[in-house]
Amino acid sequence: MTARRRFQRAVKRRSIGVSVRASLHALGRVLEVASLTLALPALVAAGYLENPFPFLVPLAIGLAIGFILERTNRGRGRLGTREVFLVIVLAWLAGALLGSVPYLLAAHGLGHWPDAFMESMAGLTGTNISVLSDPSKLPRSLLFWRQFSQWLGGLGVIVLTLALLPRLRVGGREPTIAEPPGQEVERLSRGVKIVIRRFGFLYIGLTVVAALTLVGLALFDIDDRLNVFDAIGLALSTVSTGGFSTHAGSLADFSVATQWVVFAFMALAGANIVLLFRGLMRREVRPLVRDGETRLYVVIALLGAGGIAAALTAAGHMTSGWHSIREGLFQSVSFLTTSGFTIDNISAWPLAATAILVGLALIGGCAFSLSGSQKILRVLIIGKLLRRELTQTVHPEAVLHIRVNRRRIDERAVRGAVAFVLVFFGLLALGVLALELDAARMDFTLNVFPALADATAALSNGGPGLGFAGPLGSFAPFSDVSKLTLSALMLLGRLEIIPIAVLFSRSYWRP
Amino acid sequence: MKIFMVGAGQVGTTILEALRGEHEFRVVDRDHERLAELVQNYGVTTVEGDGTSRRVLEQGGVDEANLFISCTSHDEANLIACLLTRRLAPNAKTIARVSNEEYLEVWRDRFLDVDFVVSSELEAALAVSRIIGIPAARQTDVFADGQVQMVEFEVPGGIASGAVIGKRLRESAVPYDSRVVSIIRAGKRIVPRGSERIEAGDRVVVIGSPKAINLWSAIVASGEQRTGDVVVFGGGRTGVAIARVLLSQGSRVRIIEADARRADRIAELLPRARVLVATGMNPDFLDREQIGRAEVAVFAMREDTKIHYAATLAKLHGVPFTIAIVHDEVSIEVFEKSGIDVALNPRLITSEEIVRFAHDPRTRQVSMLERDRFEILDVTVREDNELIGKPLSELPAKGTIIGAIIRNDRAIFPHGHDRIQRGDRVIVFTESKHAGELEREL
Repeated sequence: MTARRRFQRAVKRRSIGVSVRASLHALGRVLEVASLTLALPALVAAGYLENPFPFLVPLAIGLAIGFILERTNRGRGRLGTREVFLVIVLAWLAGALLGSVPYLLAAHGLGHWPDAFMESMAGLTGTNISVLSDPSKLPRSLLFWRQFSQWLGGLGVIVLTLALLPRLRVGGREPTIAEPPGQEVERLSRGVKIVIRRFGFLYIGLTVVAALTLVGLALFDIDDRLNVFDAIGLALSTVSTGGFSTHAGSLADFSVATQWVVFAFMALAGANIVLLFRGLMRREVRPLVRDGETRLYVVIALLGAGGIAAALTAAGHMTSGWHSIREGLFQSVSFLTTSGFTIDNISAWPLAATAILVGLALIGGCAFSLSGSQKILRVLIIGKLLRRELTQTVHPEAVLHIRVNRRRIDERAVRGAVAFVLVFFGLLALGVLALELDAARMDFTLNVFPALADATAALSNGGPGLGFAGPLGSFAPFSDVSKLTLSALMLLGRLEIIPIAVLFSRSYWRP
Repeated sequence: MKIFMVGAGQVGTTILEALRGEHEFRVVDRDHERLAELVQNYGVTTVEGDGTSRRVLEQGGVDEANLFISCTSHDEANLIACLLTRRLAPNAKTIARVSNEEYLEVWRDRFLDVDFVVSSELEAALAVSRIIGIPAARQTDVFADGQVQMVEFEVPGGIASGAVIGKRLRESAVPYDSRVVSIIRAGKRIVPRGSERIEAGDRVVVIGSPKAINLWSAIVASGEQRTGDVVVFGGGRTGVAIARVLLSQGSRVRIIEADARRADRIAELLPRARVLVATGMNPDFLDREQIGRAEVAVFAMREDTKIHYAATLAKLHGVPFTIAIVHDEVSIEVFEKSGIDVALNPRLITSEEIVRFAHDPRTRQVSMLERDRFEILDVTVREDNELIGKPLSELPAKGTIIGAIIRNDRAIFPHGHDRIQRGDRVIVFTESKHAGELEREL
């Protein structure tokens, strides 16, 4: 190579600011690990004497692509902050694509690609949106994959929200909020390992306990409609606040005992996992009980429950007061944690009650939990910001800090939270608009509230929707464009928007 | 006694004036002219040089000293001089003046081998608290750097019986870290035995931790009487120390600081205070923030002239009581002549504290109650005292009650079964006529 040629190549490589090849290398490694998880549904298929190939094919593809990406890009460039954004987005996209393959290949699966992709994306992002009106008709192994993909997505969320997003300072998440004071911020790769070791195991532990409890209910015939397969499947989608059920009627088919167990574990999954870890593993209950966000979480859940119960009672919908309180409590927590389980046909509910549910889904659970949406911490910070603005109007010279748990929230984090909320609502509006335009194109009538509920379900990773067919029906009637729109909203919501948005900014690619 | 003193500034001069009659002084300072002045006025021996220099100390004859005082305006220099002297003259008691309260904390935790450390910031803050702290109290005093508080409360006539009022003391919910040391009913003193009750219209004298005293305030006074409304002008270290003490006593505190970054820092240090970025010289600002409605304004800015202007302005805006923390020797007179209610000079307070320790290291502080019928003493128990090791309930009573014990510079609020240990300092309540006897006995 001539010196001039070498010069030209060297200068050309500098012309973009992101080391794509370092990102691809990391993506390769992620894919290798991620595709191996498909071995589990393949085993289930073998166990039920079903065809394991729908899982082995994407497993092989994933391994091969991962291997190639890792090999060809080894030692190329450094994995810095910018590259991590790219890896996150590509990894979730690749995961959703690979995960959609079993739906396409399995007998009695989903023949249409956009359906399979949306189903897979809903699984991975922990959203209870589905094109299936009766999932129990799926082959067992595919149904297991559907539940398991939600659980895997939850594991991804733990890495994302505890290790990656705080370090990338996304949406007002600051490393100092996640980690207890005095603990130094670790290097990224080490941080990921620590997070997986600590909170990953807590997550697995919670899943095991939930599964054992539900299996117990099944085996001892406390719930005679629940079998062991359902029990494990529900455990997987409960602790991940996913919300997929193995039955057509969500949880309405199961007994009250099962509903309460699901209630308890989804409430835990919506709480701050760092504080949960300290409370359960280190017996430091105080930080959890004293935590301002956790307290607000409980208050909002109770207020939501009260509001729903009142709305239901006022509309004469329920047979007894206790019944409406139980339904209110369950649905309130289900939507606040963005799980999306239902124990009743909520599309028959009065508008006041469903509006509360949509409102709860727009808030979401605690910031460092498995739930999606905007998170209570941001609501808390913005509430305090508004109060500060009022105080500042009266006392222009006062120095007023925003504090959560007596600790000062950095102004930069406050700004991040505000920006996040604005972008969130902006996207929500765009999502509603897209659904409406597409419906108009297809000559459907889609009212604004159901469209809002559907867009909220997708963007908050909650669900179910209230669109054409209601919560127990499916999203099948939507057009492909709408399905892809909803898929995009789900991914945006799960990754907290900014990592994707930043890829579209010029400054990201500039050196 | 031979006193070796480093620092010939305001503090040093005041100490010299107070003690030179009885003691032999040797003064070290770097400033030639200051020393010349001292020689001319007081005829003391002086050494020109740096007090942190081993050579200067040795040549000055520090090894002969019984008492070593370092009172320059540099905290670190004072501490180093004391630590050097600890080695050069192992038998001399050492006193260091610091302004930064953090050094005092460190000293209290026994990290610094110095016999006595006085923080002028904290002394100023405690002096302010003696005047305006705990608004619900008739009288108040602070011991052991603020760890122990003494208050005399007037129990209002119409107050309803509750968990404390009207119950036998042994059954009543007296705040944990506090002791009732006296009940005064219709001018007569009642020894607060377990069978006695606090009744409406009584006066009670309580010794306790700042937290417990806050609880007491809540028992005897309604919300409004309890919280003072104080504005502190100037958020330097003295201002912050004052604000901190007043906040701990339940007052509402606003701090006015001109420097925005410093103000930010204060807001972080004292989340319960309201910090305002302003000079305090702007009438519009004072109007807007209704500074005139505050009960007290404390001025802790850097320059006396600014303090004077700001204090006068605050008076004009209607603040009924003003306290100025001044720096110059003559300022006190000027301030109090011109209508500022109280002027305090931290340097003077510090030197008074040092003089008190030099006089009698055992008795630190005396506080008078009900004119001078009762006294509260802060005394270190003699090493060879026969009371050591006995439970407090067996102490010769005579109406004397131990309200607090300072052990290793931490306050303990004792109950009958606690014992006095070697090296303890006790805060005792006694009738004045027994005070001398008591001091000898301890």
